[in-house]
Amino acid sequence: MLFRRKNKTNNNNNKNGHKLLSRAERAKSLSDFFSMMEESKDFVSSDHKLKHMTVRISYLNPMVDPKSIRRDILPYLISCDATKLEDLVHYLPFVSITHTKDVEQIKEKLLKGFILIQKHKEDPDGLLLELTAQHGRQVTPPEVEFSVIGPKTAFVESLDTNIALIRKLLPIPNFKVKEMSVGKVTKTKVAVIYIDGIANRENVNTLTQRLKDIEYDNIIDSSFLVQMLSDNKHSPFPQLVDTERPDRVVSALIEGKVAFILDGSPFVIMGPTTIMEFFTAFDDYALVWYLASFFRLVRLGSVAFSVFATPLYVAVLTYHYQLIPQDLIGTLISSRMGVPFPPIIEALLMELTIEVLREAGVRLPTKVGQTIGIVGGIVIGTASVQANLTSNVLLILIAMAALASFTTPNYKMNNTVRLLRFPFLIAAGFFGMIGIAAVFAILVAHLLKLTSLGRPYIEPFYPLRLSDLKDAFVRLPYSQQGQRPLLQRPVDSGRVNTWRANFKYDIDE
Amino acid sequence: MEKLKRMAVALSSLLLLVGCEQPKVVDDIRIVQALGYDYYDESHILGTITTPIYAHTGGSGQVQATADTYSVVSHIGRTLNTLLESRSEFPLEIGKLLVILYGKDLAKGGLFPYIDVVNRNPDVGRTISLAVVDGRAETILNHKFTTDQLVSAYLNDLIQHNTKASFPKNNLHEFLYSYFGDGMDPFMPLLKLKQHHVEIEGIALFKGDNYVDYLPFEYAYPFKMMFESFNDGSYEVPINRNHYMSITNISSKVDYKVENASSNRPIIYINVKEKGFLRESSSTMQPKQNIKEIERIMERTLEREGNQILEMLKKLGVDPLRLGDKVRSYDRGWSEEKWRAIYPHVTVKLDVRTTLAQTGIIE
Amino acid sequence: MPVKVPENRQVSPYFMLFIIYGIQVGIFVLSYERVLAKEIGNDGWITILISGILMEVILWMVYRVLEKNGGDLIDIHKELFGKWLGGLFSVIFSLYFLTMSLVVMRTYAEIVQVWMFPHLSYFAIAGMVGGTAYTFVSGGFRSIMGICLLSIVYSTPLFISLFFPLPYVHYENLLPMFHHSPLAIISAAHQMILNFIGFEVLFLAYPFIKQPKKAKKWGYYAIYLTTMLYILLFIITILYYPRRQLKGILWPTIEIWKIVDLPFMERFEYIGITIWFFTILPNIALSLWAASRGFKRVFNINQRITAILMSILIYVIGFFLNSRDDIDLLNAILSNIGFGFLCGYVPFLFVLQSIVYKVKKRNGKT
Repeated sequence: MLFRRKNKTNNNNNKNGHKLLSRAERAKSLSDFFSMMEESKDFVSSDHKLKHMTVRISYLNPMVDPKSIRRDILPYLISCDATKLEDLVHYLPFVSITHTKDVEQIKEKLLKGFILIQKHKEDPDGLLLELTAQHGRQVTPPEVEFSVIGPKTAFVESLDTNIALIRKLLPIPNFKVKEMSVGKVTKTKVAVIYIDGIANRENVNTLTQRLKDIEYDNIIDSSFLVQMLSDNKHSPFPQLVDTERPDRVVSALIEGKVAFILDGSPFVIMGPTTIMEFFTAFDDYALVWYLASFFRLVRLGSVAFSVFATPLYVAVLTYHYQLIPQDLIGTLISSRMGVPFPPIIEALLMELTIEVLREAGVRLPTKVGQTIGIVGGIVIGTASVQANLTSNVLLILIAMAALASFTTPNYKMNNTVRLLRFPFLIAAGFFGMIGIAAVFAILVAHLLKLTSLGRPYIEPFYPLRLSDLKDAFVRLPYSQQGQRPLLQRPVDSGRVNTWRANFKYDIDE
Repeated sequence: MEKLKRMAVALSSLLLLVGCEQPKVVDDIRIVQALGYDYYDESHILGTITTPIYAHTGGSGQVQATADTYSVVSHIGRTLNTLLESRSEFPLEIGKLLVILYGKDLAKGGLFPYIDVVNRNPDVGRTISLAVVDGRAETILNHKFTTDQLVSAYLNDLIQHNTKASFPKNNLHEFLYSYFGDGMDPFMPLLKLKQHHVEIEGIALFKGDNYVDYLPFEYAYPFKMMFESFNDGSYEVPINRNHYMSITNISSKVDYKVENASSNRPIIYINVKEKGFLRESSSTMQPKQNIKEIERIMERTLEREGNQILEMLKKLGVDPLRLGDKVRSYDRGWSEEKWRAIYPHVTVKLDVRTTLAQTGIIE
Repeated sequence: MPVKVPENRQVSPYFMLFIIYGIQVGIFVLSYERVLAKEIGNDGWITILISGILMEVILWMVYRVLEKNGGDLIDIHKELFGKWLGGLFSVIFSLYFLTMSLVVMRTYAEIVQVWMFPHLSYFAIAGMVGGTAYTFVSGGFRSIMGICLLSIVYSTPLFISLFFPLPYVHYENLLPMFHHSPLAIISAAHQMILNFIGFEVLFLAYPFIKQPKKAKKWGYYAIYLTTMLYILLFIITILYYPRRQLKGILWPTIEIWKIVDLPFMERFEYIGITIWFFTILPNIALSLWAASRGFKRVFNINQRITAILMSILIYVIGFFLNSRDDIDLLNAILSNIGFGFLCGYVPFLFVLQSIVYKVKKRNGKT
C-alpha cells in the first residue's frame, strides 16, 4: 500500500516537472527564450553602440553585480576597436569567456547570473561572462556543532566558498571535485568531493550513481538528499553524517570518506559512516586521549540514560518493585502518593511536555526561547509536582534524560535518540523489563541490517573489527591511530610511517 | 507475502493485548516488610505483618512512614494470606520482606512449614533475616521503638549489623543451607524485648527445624570464630574480675582438619588464628609489656569458651558448626544416621592462636 | 554440485565460535545443575568434562563429513541416500531444529511466567520472543551472527554476577571427590546433552563461513569455552547449595542471582531473566533459521514464508503445552533426539560416508 502511494506521488512529480520543462524546451531558439524572459521584470536586455559595432547585453538584473558591469565591462567595450564579436574577447578583462552558439548553454548560464553579449537580439552567437553577484553571508562560527577548542569556521550557503574552505585545508592535487546538478526544477549544483588514492572508488561511484538517480523537483537542502540517498529510507537513524565544520570534512576525507556539498546548503554530507560517528565531537580530538575518551563515554552513557531512564522507571514502578533498594522504596512511594495516573501515563505526559517545550524553544526567537525554558522547567515542573500530577522522582529523571539527550553532538541523531524512548516507554508500560528487552532486541536487529553506502552501520562492533575500535568507545592516542578505518576500505590504508611515529629514543640519547 | 506479514503482525499484536500482566504499581500495593508467627493454641497460629504506610507528602520531599501492623489468627496449615488480605486496602506483596520472626513456643514445634512458604515464593529474596523471639513476635512488631526507622528495618539492621562484629553470619539462605545440608543444623538469632530496645539474647539452636536451646550472647564470639572466617570482628578479653581489654579489627581464620574420618571415633581439629589490635585498656595495665600475656589470656579464654560451646552442642545433639559436613567431606561412607549416633562422642580439639598489635593515640 | 553461498552473505572464520557458543548456551544453563546433581551430585563436573570432550570428538566428525562433501547436510543426504530418502532425512533434521526452538521458547515463557509475570499469557511472551527472533531470521545469517556476537556482550553482567555468591560457598561440598562409580558418571552424561546440542546447525551453516579450514579451531574453542562455563557454573552451584536442597530447586542459576545485592538494585534475578532474553535469542533465531533453511534447500521454497509459518506454528503448539509435565516431557524428548542425533547419527554418517567414498575411490581406480 505504502509502496504504491509513493510511486503515485513520484509520477505526479514527473508529470509536473515534465510540463515545466517542456515549456522551456519549447523555447528552441534564442528569440523564443528572450520573449519568455522578457515577461519577467528583472530581465535586462539593451543595445549599446561601440566604436565599430553595436552589441546587445542581456542579463538577469538581481543575479549580477551592476557595479561591475559599469566598471569592468562597459568602459572596455566602448573604448575597443573590435569589429567582430570574437575580437571582443581580447578587449575584455576576463580570464574565461565562453563563446557559444549553443542555445541550451546560453539559457542555463544566463539563469545562473552570467551576462550575455550578442551582436543583436536575433544573433545566436554570444559571449558569456560570469558576473554573478555574491549575495551569500560571510563565513561565521559554527552554531550547531559548537566546539570549545578548534577552528571557528562553518560552511555557508555558497558552494564555491565551501569548496574553497576545504581546499584551503587540503592543498593537494588528489583532492577531486565532481560537479553535477540535481532537482528537476531547482537544478541545484552538487559537488562530490573525495581524495583520489585514498577514497575507495566503489564508495565514490555509489554516491555519484545515487545522486544521478534522484528524481525530485525540489532540492533545497542537503538534508533532503540524505533521506533520498540513504540505504534504508525509513530508518530513524541518519545513515550519512552531516556537518557544518570544514575541519571535520577534511579529516573525514583523509580517512577515506566521500562527501558531497550542495549549493545553498551549509551542511556537507559524508559517508560511509557508522553509528559511533554521530556521537563524536571535535573536542574528542582536541584533548588528551584519556580525557577525550572519558567525555565520549560520558556522552554515550548519557544517550543510554536518556533512552532507558524513564522506561526503566515505568517498568520498575509498575511491575518490579522487588528491584528497588530498601532505602529508596520509601522515597519512591511517597513521591508517587496521590498521583492519579499509573506510571506509564505519568511518564508519557511528562515526556510529551518536555518535547513540547523543546519544540517551542526551537521555534521561538532566541530571547523568548530562554523565557520558555525557565517557564517550562521551573514553573511547570514545580507546579505539576505540587498539584500531584507527577512524582518528583520522575520529574528529575525526565529532566535529566532531556538534558542527557542534548549531549549528542549531531542534531539528527539527537532527534533519533529522543524518539527512540517512546517505543521503549510503551513496551515498559505493558510488559515491564521483558518489554524493554524485546524492543531493544528489535532495535538491534534493525541496526544490524542497516548499511551506509553499502557498508555496515554498526561496524566496529558487528562485523567485529578490533582495529576500528580504536576510535569508537574510547579514542586511543594518535600514535595508535596509524591506520585508516577499515570501514572505508581505503585504497591507501596507512596514515603514517608507523615505525617512525612509534620510534623512541633510549634514555639519555 | 506482504499480506502474510501484515496478518502475522496484526494477529500477534491482538494476542499481545489479550494477556496483559496486572500491574503492581508501588503505591497501589502494601509491601509487607516483617512477618511474625506465634503459637496461639494447639490448632491455631497467630500471624502478624507490618507494612509501611507512607504519608502523602505532595512534593515536599520528606519521607514519613508509619508502620501498620496487624495480626490474624489462622488455623494451622492454612496460609495466612487470605485472612490478611481481608484486612488490607491494597494487595499484600512480600517481595521486599526484610525480617521474619518466630515465637519461641512455635519454634519448638518446628518451623519448616513457615519457612517453606517463603522458600517457594520467587518474590522473596535470600538475604532476609530470620529470628526467634523469646516471648511473642507480635509484641515486638507492635512495639513503638525510639527510632525513626520502621520496626522491620530496625530489626533487620540490628541483626545484620551484629553479624559484622561478633555474631555469626545468618540469613534465610544460611538457614536453608544448614537445614537442607547433611550433617548440620541451623541456628538463628534469639531476640528479646527489653524495655524500649530489642536485644539479641543469643543464638537459638535448632535440631532440624525444632528450637532446642540457645547459646547466650557472650558465647556468640567464640561460636563465630569456629563457624566462619571473618574480618573486622571485636572481642573483650577479661584480664581479671574488673578489667577487660577491648580487641578490635580482628581478622580470624578458621581451619578444620579431620582424622580417622571413616572410623567411629573421628578426631576433629579446629585451628583458629586471630589477628587484632588492642584499643582500650584500663590505666592500671601496661599493655606494652603485657601484650604476650594478653594474647595468652585471650587464647585461653576463647579455647575455654569454645570447648564449653562444643560440649553443650554435643550434649544437645545439635550441630550448627557443621562438623558433620566436615567429616563427610573426608569420608565416602558417611551417612547422616551414623553421624548422629557418634556425634556426642566425637573428639574435637580446639586450638586458638592470637597475635595482637598495639594501637591507640596514648602511650 | 554442493551449495554455494554468495560471498557478501558469508561471515569471517572466527564466527564459528559465536555460532556454536550462541546456540549451545541457552535456556538449559538455568536448570542443568539440578538434573546433574540429582544423578551424581558433586562429581557432576567430571561428567561435564567428559561430555565436553565427547562433543569435541563429534565436532571433529561433523567437520570431516562436511569437508569431504564440501556442501551442507542436504547435499550429503542427497549423495548418500539419494533424492527421496535423503530429502526425508533432511526434513526430519529441519523438524528437529523446529522442536529445539519450540522447547527453548516454551521454557523461557514458563520462566517468565513463574518469576516475573504470573498473569501474563503465554501468547504475549512467546509473541515477543518469536517476533524478535523472526526479525533476526529475516535479516539473514549475517544478522543472526550479529545477535550471537552481541548476546555474549550483553550477558557479561551475568558472569560478573557469579562473583556474588562467593562469600557463601562451602568448599567441603566438592569433597569427597570421585565417590560415584565411573559408570554412573559417564551415564549421567546424557543429562548434559541438552546443554550441548545445537552445534549440528553447522551442517547447514558451514557454507556460510569464509575459509572454513581456518574456522575449525574456533569451533573447538567454542566447545571448550562452553564446557568451561558449565563446569564453573556447576561448581559454584554445588558449593552454594547443599545437595539435598539443590535437588528441589528448578532453576538453581536464577536462585543464585537472588543473593546479588547492589546498592542501587536488589534482587538481580529479574535483571538476569531479562538479560537472558538475549541469550536465548540466538538459540531460537539460529534454530528457526536452520529449520527454514532446511526446507528451502529441500523444497526450494521461499525461506521468508517458511520462517513465518514456522514461527506461527511453534507459537501455536507452545500454547497447548501448558503444564510443567508437558514441558518436562518436551525437554526429555528433545534431549533424547539430540543425544541420538549427536552420538548416534553423526558417527553413523561419518562411517557411512567414509565407506561410500572408499568404495567410490576403488571403483574409480578399477
